[in-house]
Amino acid sequence: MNMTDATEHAVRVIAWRGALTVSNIDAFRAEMDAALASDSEFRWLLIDFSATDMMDSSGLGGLLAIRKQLQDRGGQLGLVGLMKKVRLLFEITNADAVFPMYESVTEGREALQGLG
Amino acid sequence: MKARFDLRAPVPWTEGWLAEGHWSLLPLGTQPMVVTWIQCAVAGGVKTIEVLGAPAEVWDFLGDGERWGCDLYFKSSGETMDVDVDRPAFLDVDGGRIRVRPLVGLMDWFLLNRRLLRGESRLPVRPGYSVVVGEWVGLEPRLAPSCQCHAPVMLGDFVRLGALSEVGPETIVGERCVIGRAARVVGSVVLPHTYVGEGLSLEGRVAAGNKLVDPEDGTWVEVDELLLFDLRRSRGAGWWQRLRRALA
Repeated sequence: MNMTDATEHAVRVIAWRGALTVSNIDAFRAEMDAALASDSEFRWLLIDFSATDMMDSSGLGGLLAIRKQLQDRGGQLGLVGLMKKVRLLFEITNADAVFPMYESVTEGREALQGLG
Repeated sequence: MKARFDLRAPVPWTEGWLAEGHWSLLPLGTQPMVVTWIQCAVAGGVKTIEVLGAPAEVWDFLGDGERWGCDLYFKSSGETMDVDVDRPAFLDVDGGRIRVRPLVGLMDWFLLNRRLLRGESRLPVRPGYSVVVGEWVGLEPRLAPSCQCHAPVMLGDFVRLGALSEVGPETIVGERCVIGRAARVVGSVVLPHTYVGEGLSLEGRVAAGNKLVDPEDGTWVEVDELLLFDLRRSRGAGWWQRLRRALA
């Protein structure tokens, strides 16, 4: 289990530990699907990647799929604490324009609550 | 007249992202910096150059020096010495002696390339033809009609720019690079033999094979080969060179 899950002030916060690559994307998707299925009401999700030092295009694709699911609910996915190495991947693929990014969970929570 | 290049010193700022290839083969403009040194020495009257501590890939690349009109000798040890030359117009010289300013970091090398592009350096590194002011293009480029180049830009030999791609300003694309469809490369250095994937956006970065480097702080990341790719791997040349190195 690479994930911790908590709901704070209507914003669900999930922390992912370790890499997010083709080798574990299925496990990531399964855990995210389970989290989304457990509560059909929540719309705002923050994923804390401050302990993730590596991501590839499979991980990026997985995040886009979760973003789509949340948008279908009228919500939004925000990313927290991206390391520089991971942020470079977002930058060259222009994914940084797609996902809201925050330095801290507190900052992300306030921003997403503002959207609601 | 004789010169001696010492390549033995480690260059920490290339560690990690420049895993294949020696630091002396990093480009200034679109040619390796060791070639620039050779050209400068030859222009200053040097006929014989000893290269100390050159790894096999540098030997393979430089050959015997005939291309530059000098004799190259490779040695593993020896004393470093300065190069005594007449005053060539394009070099900073001090008392008739070439002063090679050491590159102290990744950003130093990156900014030197920027100065070359802007015409602020006198080093002789502009490739091929200048088709438009500020745009230098190497031999046999293949440019899609819908691609855009913004000066200043340097394209090495055999570069391919895909449809709707955008290159420059202040960009160097090394020889045999392929810039994918709709990719955007601005203010960056793309090392030779690099494929830049479709739709990618590089701004102020160094692309070296499948590694992406931020010259500001040296952070580098290895990305998927569908995004960035070292085209030499697909030809098996890397395998052959590794075998030769192992047997040497």
